[in-house]
Amino acid sequence: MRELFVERAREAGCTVLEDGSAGIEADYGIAETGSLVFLAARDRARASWIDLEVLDVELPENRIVGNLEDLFALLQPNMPSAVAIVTGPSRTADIEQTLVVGVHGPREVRVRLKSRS
Amino acid sequence: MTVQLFATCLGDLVFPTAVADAEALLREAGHEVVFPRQQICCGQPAYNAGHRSAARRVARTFARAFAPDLPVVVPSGSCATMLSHYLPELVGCEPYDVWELSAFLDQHGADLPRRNDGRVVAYHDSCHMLRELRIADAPRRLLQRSGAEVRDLPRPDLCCGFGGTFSTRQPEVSVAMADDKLAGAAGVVALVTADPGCLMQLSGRTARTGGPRVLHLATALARGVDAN
Amino acid sequence: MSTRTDFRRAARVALHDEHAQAALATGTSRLRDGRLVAWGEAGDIAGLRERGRQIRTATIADLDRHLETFERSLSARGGVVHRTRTAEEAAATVVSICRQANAHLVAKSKSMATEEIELNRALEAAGLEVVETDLGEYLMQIRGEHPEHIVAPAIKLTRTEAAEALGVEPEMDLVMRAAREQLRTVFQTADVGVTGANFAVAETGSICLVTNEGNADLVTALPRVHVVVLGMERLVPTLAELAPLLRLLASSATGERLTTYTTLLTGPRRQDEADGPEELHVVVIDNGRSGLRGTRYEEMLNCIRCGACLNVCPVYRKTGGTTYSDVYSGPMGAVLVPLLSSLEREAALPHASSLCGACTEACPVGIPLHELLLELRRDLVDRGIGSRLERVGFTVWSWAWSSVIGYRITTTLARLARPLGALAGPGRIWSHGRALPRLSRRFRDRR
Repeated sequence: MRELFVERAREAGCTVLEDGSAGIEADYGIAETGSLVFLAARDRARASWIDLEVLDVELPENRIVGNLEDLFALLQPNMPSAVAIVTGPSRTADIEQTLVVGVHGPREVRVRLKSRS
Repeated sequence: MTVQLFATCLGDLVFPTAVADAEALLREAGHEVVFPRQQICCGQPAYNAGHRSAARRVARTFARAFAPDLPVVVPSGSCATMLSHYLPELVGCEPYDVWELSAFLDQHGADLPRRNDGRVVAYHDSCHMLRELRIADAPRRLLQRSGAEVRDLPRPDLCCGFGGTFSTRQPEVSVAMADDKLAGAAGVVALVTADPGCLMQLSGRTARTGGPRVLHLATALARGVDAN
Repeated sequence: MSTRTDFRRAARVALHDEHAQAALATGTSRLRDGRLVAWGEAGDIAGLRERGRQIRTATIADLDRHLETFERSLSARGGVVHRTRTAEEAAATVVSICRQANAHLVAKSKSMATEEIELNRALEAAGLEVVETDLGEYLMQIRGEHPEHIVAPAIKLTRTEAAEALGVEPEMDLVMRAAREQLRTVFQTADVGVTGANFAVAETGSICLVTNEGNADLVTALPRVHVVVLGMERLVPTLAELAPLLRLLASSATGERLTTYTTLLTGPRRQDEADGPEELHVVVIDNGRSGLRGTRYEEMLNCIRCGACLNVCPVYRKTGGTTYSDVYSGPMGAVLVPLLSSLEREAALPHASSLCGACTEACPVGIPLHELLLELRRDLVDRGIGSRLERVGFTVWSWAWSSVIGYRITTTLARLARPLGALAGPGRIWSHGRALPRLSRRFRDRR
């Protein structure tokens, strides 16, 4: 699952680093899509994963789930006010179908995987 | 075997030589061809424009003319679709054993003489054949067996713009669609199609703008793409 | 919704716009290719599409119950649901919410439902400033134009036109930076954020927003009030059923596994949260949808607004979106607009198609679009709407062609009159751009 997450996250345009720590902690990762999941919480503003140029993320490996269904099963009993599934940097192809990154959100997403003992 | 030939109204009126070519191909392949003389039209022009009663009145002539126990071969993908998919429900008859020409020849044909050796052609899939009958390989195989090199059009999925009444309800769009199709066929000697509707649309346009020869598959196979 | 009564005239304008023609051809091709690649990589795409069709069909069949569940779930989380019937009611409800909030500036994230109810006009009439934050929509708004495509609203614009609209030099970088700066202020100072919703999950009372830019997330994070305009048919019973629909939407619309931001919002901000709206309102719109239920057209409510049908339509490719209507276009527009508006006003749309069937083939949830167009054509005939001349013509034709004698007489006359064929009627229309077919000796007479 870890390998699949790394592969898919890279395909989605993220930089994936095998270790280190920096930035905000993602609540989950989704292997199927290479996505990071952020939940609104008391100490975490929703804009904190969007309103910046470079998004540095720490993702504990044991928080990587297989697919969307797995994530939803975990969240369903008690939905937070916001669940953001983020897959790569902010982008648009609105003009001339040309892909541009970093319109309103980050133009770069750097993920650091953290293994837990 | 013995087969019944349905000329279709466009075939009978506008492309009689293509129908004659179709009959010749069937005979050449060793089949006996019957032409029920009471045949007229399958009713499709009215059916696709939403006029069911008018369509039914004309479609009934098919059921009166054709024997239910012999296969029907049709040199038109759209008419073959009308007969096989919609006629029984519209007219209240038993389904016929309907064969679009290329599907029949591909399955039951004998060897084809190589009348198109060294010719580079493009083949235009009519929408009915592509999506409703799902016959795309058979006509290409037949052309290849006749010696032709068959080139792919850049967007074979795009309609030529005929669409029955659409061609005169939205003529500018219809012609623009034909132009796109013909632009993709630049550099080939001939553009071959198995549907008289598409044939009328595309050859009508090339008569004004120039472009590749547009001809019916039956003609391309029976007499070669250079035939008159 | 505004109506487009003369498709042919509008189409002519689009056909003469060389740049639009090139942009539409390239734009739709890219989106189509993206979908084909994504579907190819998806594994069992046929199974996924069938699953999607089943989920949508079952949901619509039991829509009232799911709407009730949604309302209960969201109310329990502090959200407010407003059920409305007409477009005017829906727009007025949003205006009223904004007034109650003493709002001056409204930030909007792209929503076709808000276009349907002409929300921007209603808000502006009430003295509010409205800014679209989706880049394509923002540009179209500045230019005073309607969106051309439900997923790619600015599909026809060049980067030069985009740059002009923003007041910068025509470099992509500068365009992006200008958009980012100009809209940042909007996010930060707007009183109300208005979005649509791609889906609404009944069991949890959640709204699902699917975007790539992140503007919807900012519109729903910073302003004090969030208003969602939700088409009633967008319900999904459970999160588990949402998952396959998200896969279908992303792969079919933009060729992605998921869009960059797939966000689920469940009620307003909770106690002590750092941001998020204090109020969350969901305005559910009907606007003619319930009229489709129990009819042959009910399947049209399955639509997930992915745009796949637009991207394969040979007619849309030539005409663009605004030729069809101000809101929905392409095959789904040709079916939906007459049904939500009226068949009388939109009689041209079911015929704005060659019935090629590419749309049905492309629809991820299996809506038989070209069959629905044919049904609409039958309705036009059965209800006596549309060309009387055509009706009479086909009736006469059908009597003439119900016997061989009649067929022979009429076709002999046609052959004799052929030289005049270009002078009137369909012959005249045909021969503008194409040679009239020659009528020589019939096959049956040569044989």
